[in-house]
Order: sequence, then structure tokens, then C-alpha cells
Amino acid sequence: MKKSLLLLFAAAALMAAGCSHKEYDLSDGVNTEITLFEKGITIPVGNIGPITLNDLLGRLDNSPLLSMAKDYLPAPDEDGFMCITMQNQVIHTINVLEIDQNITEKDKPYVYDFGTLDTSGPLAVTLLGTFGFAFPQQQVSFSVAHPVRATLPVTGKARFCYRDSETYESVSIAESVLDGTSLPWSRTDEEFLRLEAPDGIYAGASSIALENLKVELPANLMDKLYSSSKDIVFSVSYKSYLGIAPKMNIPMEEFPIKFSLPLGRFDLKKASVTMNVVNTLPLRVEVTDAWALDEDGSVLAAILIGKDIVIHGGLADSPAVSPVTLEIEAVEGRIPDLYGLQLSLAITAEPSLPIKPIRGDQGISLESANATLSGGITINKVL
Amino acid sequence: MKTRYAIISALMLCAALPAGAQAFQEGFLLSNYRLGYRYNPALGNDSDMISIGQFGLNTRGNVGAAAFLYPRDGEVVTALHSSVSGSEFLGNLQELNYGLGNVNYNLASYGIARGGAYHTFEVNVRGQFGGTVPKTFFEVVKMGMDDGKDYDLSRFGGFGQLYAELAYGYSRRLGDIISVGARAKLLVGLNALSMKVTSFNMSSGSPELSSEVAMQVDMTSKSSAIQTDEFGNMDFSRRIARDKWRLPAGGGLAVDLGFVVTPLEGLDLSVSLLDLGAMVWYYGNAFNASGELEFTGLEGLTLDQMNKDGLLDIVKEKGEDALDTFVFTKRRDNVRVAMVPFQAHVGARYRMPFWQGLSVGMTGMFTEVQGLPYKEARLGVGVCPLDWLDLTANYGVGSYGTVFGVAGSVRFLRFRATFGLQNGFGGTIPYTNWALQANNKTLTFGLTYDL
Repeated sequence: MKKSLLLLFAAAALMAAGCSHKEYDLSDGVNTEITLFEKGITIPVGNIGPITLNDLLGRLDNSPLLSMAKDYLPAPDEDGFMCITMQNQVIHTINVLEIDQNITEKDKPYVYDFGTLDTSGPLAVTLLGTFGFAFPQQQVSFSVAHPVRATLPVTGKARFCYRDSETYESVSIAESVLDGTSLPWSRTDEEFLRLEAPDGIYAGASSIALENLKVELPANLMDKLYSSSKDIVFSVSYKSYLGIAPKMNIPMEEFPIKFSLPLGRFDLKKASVTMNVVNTLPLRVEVTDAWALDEDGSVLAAILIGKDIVIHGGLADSPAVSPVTLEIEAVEGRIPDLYGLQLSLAITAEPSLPIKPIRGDQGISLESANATLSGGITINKVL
Repeated sequence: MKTRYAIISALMLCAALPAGAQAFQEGFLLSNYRLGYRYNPALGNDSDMISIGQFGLNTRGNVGAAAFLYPRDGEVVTALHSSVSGSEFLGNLQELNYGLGNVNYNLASYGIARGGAYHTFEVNVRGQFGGTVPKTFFEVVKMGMDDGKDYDLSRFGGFGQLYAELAYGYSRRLGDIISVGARAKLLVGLNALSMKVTSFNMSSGSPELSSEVAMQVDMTSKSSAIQTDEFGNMDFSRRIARDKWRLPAGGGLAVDLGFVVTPLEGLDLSVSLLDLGAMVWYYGNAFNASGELEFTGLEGLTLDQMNKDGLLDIVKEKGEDALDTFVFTKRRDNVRVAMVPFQAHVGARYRMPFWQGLSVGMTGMFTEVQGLPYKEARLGVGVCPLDWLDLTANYGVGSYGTVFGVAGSVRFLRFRATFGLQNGFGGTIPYTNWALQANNKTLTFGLTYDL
């Protein structure tokens, strides 16, 4: 009896001590890979941008070549509008002594025939015009500096023209007959005429000219010089705002956006970002294709990026809001670290919008962006 | 002399051993258990005794490790692993998940049998600690949040209290049938902490994640006193260190009441109520914390910032901004009365007339800690096959399923070592004592010396 009871208690003690489950043996550690939010979670990302024209032009500083071109590209004026300017471009210089040699009757006024003085329009206008930019509110002013102590009557015609893209002929944007005009008495550049493009003409100036220019010089010319400089200098200044012409169409097959998102550590299968793209530029952007880039800038073939994204164009005072969903999905495995996107874009003018000068602070911003992570976030190492 | 050293050495060893706050029910069926008055103060001894280092540890949880760890393909993964479905994990949880611990460390006990009564003196250090986590928390972490749905994460909580107990017990037989007993306890508060989340709501609605949190934190200022700024808010950077031996952080009284009836020869019926009392705590560091967190995303993020360091900087800044919205307001109502976790026990035992060394019995128990109740009932058998060996085992049903218990005592000279284990079925993790299922486990170890 006593032995039986002892055996019974011994068995009970063993049961108490020996009921561990080997499949839960932690001596080899625990797999600490965890997947959070399996059903998916939507996280507010917030607002990105705006990415403005000024930002884009600022990025040109990173490239020596483009940095040089920056001087010829539009820049914001004191009111923030993007402008193309050309200041005091000398179009002709002649020494009075040289003229005086041709005068036979020194005691009589003398009309000097300058012929036609011309120059081409700003390089930036030519370049940007080919991409479909418009140039509203163009102005050309003509200036002169001369050493003669008298106003100088002139005849002729001033004008600036654009070149018709089909006929290649010069078409006058604005012109003015100079007859009855006098050159002011000034040793430094003094504006004597300003031409403004009428509304409705947005083609950029390709040439600026003073045609058949004749200047009446006073009698006894050499006695009326007051300056050590003996030159007569004609120059022009140009200013234009920048706008978007209806014909704009800029296909960009490989437009890279560089960034660095460490998504690899989260082991994501699929993510989508919904956002409202607010556009104050009158440009319509269509993303026709998109690829994810790796650290070397190479395309990640196993990552699918959603296409057919359309961002509508708007204006500064009436922005266009386009709801956009950007989907990123790993065809195989998980989404790795992303180092950028390569986009295939078509940039066109948003139809039906008026041509208005654009400002440097107009651009694109992403608002109310939300990232939806499907299939959970897997973390397999310490962040 | 050698005997004295042996006694002291043995008692010191026992005191040093990390060896139940929950009364040792198995002792009721051990024939020669000397500390039965702890289970029912009406149970006395025939002889004097001393005890040092009796240790009792009780852990209880309504959810086991198997809810959080899962064997998969030869390895163990956590509940958040992708191979564990949300329904499987959440199905293994309770609406409110808790874990409790209860420690009773006996510095010294002294029992004297005089004039038909039994007097006991005890000095104990006792502590309780625990925490609660709502199921919703795990649901959010594992599954995520549905758009527009509110998630109630309140009932997060944690507590801990440590106090010394000076007890005097008295028991006496009234005739041949009835024994009564009581123990009066003076409780001296050492340290206490309580954190209770009173409100915690989260919601995900495009385009924001938002949460409102309010909690009440009570900490005694025995170790350090946190100062306040000019607005009356807690300034955690300014603390004044305190001498741990200064005035106690709290005090209280408690009683144990016991009643044993012997209607028949060999049959004892026991009823006891233990730890009926309360403590008054002075929480020198009592404050309310509240804040509203709203995350609507990042503002004005540029392409240049979209890299690991840039994003981390922004997220860190956002986090600091969010924490700045938290207000920690010092509370003036910093004196609180807290009930001591009480226990109610009933028991019956019958010593076999054909062999006094064999007894059978049953015990029942109900307790409640911080509003979390637990109850159980057991059938047991005790046997004393040898003069120096005393054993008992039981089996029963508790709030979390079937339970068992084993205990024994071994006598050597006048020493009597006692051990006991109460546990539930469901197994443990190898090389640990972590219960895989919801469980109530009590480990008891002690040594007494008959004078």
C-alpha cells in the first residue's frame, strides 16, 4: 500500500515536472520576423511640394552645362513672374569723326544714313519657342547714346518680328515709323522708342530692327561734341513674360525622379499611394509609363508601377486638382529599396486655358497623400 | 555548537533561495505541516517552531504563452509572424488579457503553543504586480485599422506594490469540535506604482490617424520625488532623491479569520477569509497624463528630403511634436485607499480510520486582484507513508481549466522542508516555467524547525 502510494506521488511529481512541449523549445531562439497590419493600413503621408518652376531652375546649378544656359533662361522678376530679358544689346556703334569725314559742307546740317540696324531675338526665346512656350506682353525698347549736344531728328522704321514656322517668313509683331522722332541728348543710353506686342500675339521675337534709319546731324558738328567719347551707340532691350502656348507638346521618354525610400526593410508586397495632385501650371502631364529604379539607376523589372496617370493643368488663381493613385507592386518577392522613378511623360498645354504669364512659384504639389500598404509590413530585422 | 551552525546555515540557505502568496492549500492535507495557520488561522500546532525564508510565488494569467508563440516548421515564431493568421492569434486572446504576480517572502515566523492556544508571530515582505492589455491593441497591431472605425484601447494598465507585513495570530480549540483563529496584520507600505489608461481611442480616417489618450499614474515618492514646473506640470528632469529608509509610503491593517469544525472523528471542515483589509498609500508622484495625437502626414516634404535620413528626421520631429502635446498634470488627491487582495478558502479533510497516515479532502478558493477574479475547487489525497515523509496531491477545476497540485515535506532531525507546486495542464515551454495556456501557478518552498 505504502509503496503504491509512493509510486503514485512519484508519477504525479514527474507529470508536474515533465509536461514541457518540445515544439516550443526556445533554446535555438525565436524567429523574430513579424508582419504588422496584415489587413492593410492606410497611413497619411501628407503633402509633398510644391515643386515649382523656381525649384526646377534651381536644380540647373547642379549641372555646369545647364548652369551656363541658366543665364539665358527665364528668371522671376520683382513680382515673381517668369521673364526673359535682354538688356542693352548693342546693335550699332559708329564714331562721329568717321561721319564727319563724309561731310563736305560743315556749316550745314547733315543727314547720315545708317541703313538697317538689326539683331536677332533672345536665344532663350528661340529655344523655348520650339517647345511651345508663349511669350505674352513682349516689349522692345530702343536706346541711343551719343556725344552731340543736340536732339537729333530721325526717320525710318522700328519693328520686331517673329518667324512663321510654316512659311519661314518674318512677320511683324509690332512696328513704328520713326519720322518726327528725335534722338534725345544723352551721353548714356536713353530710350527713344518702345514697342509693345499687341494682345493675341505670343510668338517670340526672332529679329529686332531699325530699318532705313536716317539721323539728321547739326551744322558744325565737331563744335557740338561734349564728350570725350565720340561714338553713337544704338542698343535694344527686350522683355517678355513666359506662357504656355496651345501647341506645347513635350514628350519625355525618360524623365528620372531621384529619391531614396528604404522600403526593403519592410518587406512589402504591394503599396499604393493616393493623392490629390494640385497643379497651378497650365500644363497637362500624362504618365504613359513608369519604372522603379535601383541604387545604380537601373530599372527594376520585377516592380510594377501603375500607369495611365493624368495630371490636369490649372492656373495660379484656379488650380486643377487631379486625384491620382500610384501603385507599386512586386511581381516577384517583395518591394526593395527604391532610389527613384523613371517616367515616360507627355507634357502638353491644358486645352481651353488662356495664355497668361506664369510665375516662378507656380508648380505641382501632392496633397492629402495616403499610403495604403497591403499584405502587411514585414520586419525581419531591427530598424 | 555544530548543531546551532547547522541550523543557522540551513535557515540562511533557505532564506536565500528564490523559492505562495496564495495560501498553500496543499498544506491542509499534509499531516505535519507547521504553517497551516497561514491557510486557516484556526489551524495551530502542538509544538513550538520557527521558520525563516518561506517563499511563495504565485503567477496567474488568463492567457498563456501559446497565444504569443507558435511552432512552425521546426522553429518557433511569434504571433505576429505572417504564418499565424489573425483569427488564430486573436482567437487565443481574451477581451482583456492580464498577467499577475504575487510574492510572499517570510523573513521569520515563530509559533508558540501555550495553554491550549497557539500564538504566531510573523514578519513578511509581500508584493503584487501585474498588467492588463486589451485585445483591441493586438488587433490593431496584427490586422491594422479599418478606415473610419474607432478602436478603444483603454484598460491598458499596470500596477505593483510592495509592503511589509507584521502579523500576530491566535488560535484556540473550543471544546472538541470547533477551533477558531485570527491573525491581525500591520501593513507597512514600501513602494507602489499604478498606471491606468482611462481612455485611449484610435481611429484611422483619411487623411489622418488620430488618438486620444488619458491615463492616471500613481507612484509613491519613496525613491525620488518628481518636481513640478511653474504651471504645475510634472518636470521629469527634476527629481529629488529620497532616503529609502524614511517614513513608509503607506500603511494599513488586515485580518485573517478562520474557523474549523470537526463534527466527526477525523473529519475537519475549514473556512477561512484571508487578507481582509486595506492600505492607505501616499502617492507623492501622482499625476494625470493626457494628450491628443493627430497625424495627418508630413507637410511640405521635398524630393530632397525623401531619403532614409531625411524621412527619419521628419518622423522624429513629428514624434517630438506629438509628445509635446502631452500634459502631465500633478494631482493633489494623492492619498488612496487600496484593498489588499483577499482570499476565501473552504476545505474538508478526512483521515482514514484504518490508517491515520492517509487522508482525502477537497479545497475551494476564490480571490480577486485588482478586480480580476479567480476561483477553483480541488479534490486531494494526502499520505504520510513514513515518519519523515509527508506527501499530497490534488486535482481540480479552476477558472482556466483543470488544475493539479503536488506537495511534500521531508523531516530531518527537527528540520522540516516543505515544497509545493500548483499548476494547470497545458504544459510549459522547455527549460522555462512559462505556461503555454492560461494558468494559475503557485510555487512554495520553506523550512521549519521544531523547537
